[in-house]
Amino acid sequence: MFIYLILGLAFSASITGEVFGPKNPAEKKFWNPLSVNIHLNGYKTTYLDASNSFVFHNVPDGIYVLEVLDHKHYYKTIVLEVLGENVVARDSNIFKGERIVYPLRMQAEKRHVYFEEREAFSIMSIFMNPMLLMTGFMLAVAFLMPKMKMDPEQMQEMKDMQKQMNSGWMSSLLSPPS
Amino acid sequence: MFRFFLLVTFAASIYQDQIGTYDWHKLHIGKVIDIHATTGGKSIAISNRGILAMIKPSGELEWRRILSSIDAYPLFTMSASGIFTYSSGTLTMWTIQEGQILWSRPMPEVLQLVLTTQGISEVLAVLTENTIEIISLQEGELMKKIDLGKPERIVFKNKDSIFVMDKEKNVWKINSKNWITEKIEFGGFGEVICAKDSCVAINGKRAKVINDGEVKEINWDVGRVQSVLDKFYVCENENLVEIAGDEGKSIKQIGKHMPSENSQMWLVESSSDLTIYSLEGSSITLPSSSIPVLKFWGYINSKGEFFGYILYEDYSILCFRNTSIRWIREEGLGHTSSLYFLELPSKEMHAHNQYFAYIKDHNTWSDVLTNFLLRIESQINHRSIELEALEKDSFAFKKLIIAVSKSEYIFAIQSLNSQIFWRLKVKNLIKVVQLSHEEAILIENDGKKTKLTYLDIIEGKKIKEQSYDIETVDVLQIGNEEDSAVYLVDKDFKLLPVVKHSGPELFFYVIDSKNGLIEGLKHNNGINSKVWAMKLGSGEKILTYITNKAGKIHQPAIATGTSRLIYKYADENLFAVASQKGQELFVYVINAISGHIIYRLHQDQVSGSIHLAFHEQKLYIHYWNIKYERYEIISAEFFKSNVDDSASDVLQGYYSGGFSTDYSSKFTPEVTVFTQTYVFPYGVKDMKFTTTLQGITKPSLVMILESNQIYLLDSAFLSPRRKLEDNHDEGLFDDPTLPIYKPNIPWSSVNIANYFIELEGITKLATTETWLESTSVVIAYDLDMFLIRVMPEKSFDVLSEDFSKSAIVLTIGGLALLNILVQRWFSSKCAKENFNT
Repeated sequence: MFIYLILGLAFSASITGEVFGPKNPAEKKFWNPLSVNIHLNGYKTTYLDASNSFVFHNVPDGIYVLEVLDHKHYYKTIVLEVLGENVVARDSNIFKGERIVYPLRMQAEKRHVYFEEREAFSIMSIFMNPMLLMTGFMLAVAFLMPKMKMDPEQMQEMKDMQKQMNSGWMSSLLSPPS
Repeated sequence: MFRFFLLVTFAASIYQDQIGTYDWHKLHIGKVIDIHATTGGKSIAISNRGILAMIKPSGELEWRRILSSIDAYPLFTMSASGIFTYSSGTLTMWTIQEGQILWSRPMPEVLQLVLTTQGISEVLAVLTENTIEIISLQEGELMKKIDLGKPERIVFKNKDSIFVMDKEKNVWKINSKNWITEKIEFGGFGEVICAKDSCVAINGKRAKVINDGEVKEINWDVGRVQSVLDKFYVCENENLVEIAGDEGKSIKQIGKHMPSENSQMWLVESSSDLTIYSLEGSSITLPSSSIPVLKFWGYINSKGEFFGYILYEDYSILCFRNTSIRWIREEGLGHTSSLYFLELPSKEMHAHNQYFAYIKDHNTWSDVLTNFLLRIESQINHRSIELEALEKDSFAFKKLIIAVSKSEYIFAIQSLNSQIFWRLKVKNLIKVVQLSHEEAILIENDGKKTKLTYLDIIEGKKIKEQSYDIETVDVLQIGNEEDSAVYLVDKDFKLLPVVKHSGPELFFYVIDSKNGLIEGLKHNNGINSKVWAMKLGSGEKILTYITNKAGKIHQPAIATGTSRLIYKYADENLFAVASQKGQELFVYVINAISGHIIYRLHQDQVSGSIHLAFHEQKLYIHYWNIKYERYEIISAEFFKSNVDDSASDVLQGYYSGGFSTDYSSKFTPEVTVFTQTYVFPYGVKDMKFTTTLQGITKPSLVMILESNQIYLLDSAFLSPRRKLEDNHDEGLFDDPTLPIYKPNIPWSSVNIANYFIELEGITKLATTETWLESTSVVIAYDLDMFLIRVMPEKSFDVLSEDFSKSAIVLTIGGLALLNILVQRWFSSKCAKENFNT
């Protein structure tokens, strides 16, 4: 076990980097470096020191995913390839993409939005109510229809049609009870 | 694209003012191994789970830090300068107030950390396997490295020297001014025991001691050393012995006690109280808990006040100041290994059960009248036995969570308010099975015998116990509430019924990961017979498996956009097994009854942990793709190959007797499988589907990410039937309501269920249904606990909280008023004339 430990240490590197808060000065003053965690493959965790830097010691050879976790801001996820003492960093979203500067310089990208916004009260929401709209339309028709100046011939046709309806067998059903 | 955003928004989101309404959380640190008081009534604690934390005077955590990784056992020491920890090859110095790293350095295997002084400066002495290294506190730099033989531990220190004992029981004195080492021959005299500033090796009535840097032989008339209390030895008959001059001198008799870890105080337990004594003779008494004490740290401040901490057997830790308890932290829940949801009884059901429990012991002729009157009373005036807190609510949100801790205790937690109602010591628990709404069985196995404890889940009291001379390796629980069965499975896979199955036969399968063997067996009349067996290829190692907990399938068929009906192949007798050979991943979907392999998947270039989720016809596999250096999810969906093109096909099938949405494991139909691979940006620790009682609500995939966030993903994004952009021909199984295929799963913080709450060490999920079809309950646990109600399709079956009742009243009132006014207007002559002319 002792030999493996020595060999492991011989072929292991340190992963280092620096974390920066948001660029916007108004947001930056609320950035708290003490609340930032850095995870390596989900099983190793470290935190920022007084200079906002971090280090993972004794990282054996392999491929790792590094995440910077801040509950207010989003940081890019990085893929790291460790071989001996060499560390190569890439953006995790781009397959075999260009290398990223190493030691890492992690910049906050955007704020997390965890919640839906409540819709503010709007008077239009009452007026856009379908029931109100239907009623309003019916009333408008009821008031406006009589005022429409129709062609006398069309008016006569309508009256004839009405008379036919009234004289038909259905008139007893349609007409209101006396 | 718009469909994308809709799906992303509606998966899980809540409003900011709903924080804490549908969820609660508990943050833990684990079993405390050392704790120190600091200024302002705060405490610094370190746990065996590798967590360092500052605890406020209220008992809440001020800050919490993982030392390298969870469950890496730490070393710790502290002074006013700072906190020093060692874990997983890294030595770190932290500030006390903020828990900020000042420096860290890699170190080989460290055995012990001790703070000492060199002149006026404080330095850190780090004992490794064959050296002692002196580290400066300012920058963490190595000042001096001293080679030793095979050191065992630093036994004590004084202002000039450090004393290190080696494995041969020799003591090395290291001068802290010039770092010169001097060997003190000590071994070979007898067992060596060290107190705070001396070591003693006893041989009969003589003893060799190192005291204040000097070695001498003294008389030893005080008997065998039983333990140590700070700078004193506790010898036979519980005598406190001090090394003074040429003898060991007895100072006081202290009786059966527990020594303080850090001072000259001790604790004596009785059935009614705990008494803490100091050497000066003062004492305080605290109320006793039924739980034994594991460790105790005590202090006396300058005002003569007692304060300190008591660690109990269930890993809870209590802080006291004189006779008052300042806070208690339930750290037993920081070691939750498994968790069960139990249903609670309604008030009526409880009254009913109480009545029948009463008449069981009162069933003579003289009790008839009393029983009759009680029965009537139980139906009219429900006995309130202060059940309200553990009484089922209207929508069954309130459940009893049984959390099984590695402290060998189980905790009963009410799911709405997270209150612990009772706890019980249970060793080697295999499973908890709920029998009825007030009774559960705890199944324990000590390697030779199996013990069944029938438990009243409301009171947390044992009803009866049963013992069997078998070594239970697993428990089979099948069926539903009305017809459930429980069998104990021994190491030869023989089944012993606890609650018998009403059917004639019982089929089950066994996975032998060691030998790469999967077998299907049939149990009939107490005899097992093998139905099928499957041996994996040589070198193939079984990693994990999952059963298809389909539950109630509300919708066995899916209508596609072109009015076709396709039928899910959602047989709940299916299970999936993942195995690995080198970098090749194999996933087999097998029918547990017939042994038919429905589907076999092969993926190359895979590493890391594999996670499976299986629900109805959907199977998801999460893994790390070595070639593309990213996490991926393979989504597979199983359908019956027959497709009905129109309603007439369905009717024809129905009347000809060929139509059925049932599944028979004896005749496996032709299955069409769709698969697709998606890129997911993060690793996961566990993933499960939400389930609902009726199976109507679309399930959401709940994932614990490696960052300890709980992510809710709409399964539509993972559907393998998402149409490819350049594929204009619509296939038989295509669903145009699904978004167009894009390989990357969109990420949105809105779907993070624990929003800004920082959880640590969560590794497992449990889900359960409620009586609201829209709502499931999900809990993530291990170190921390987080419970949330999930509504994948929003709460469509209840009015939302922000439903505007005033608006609807106004609208209806307004319409009614309009109706009256319009009626009056129409009844006027003028309106009639206008209409009839």
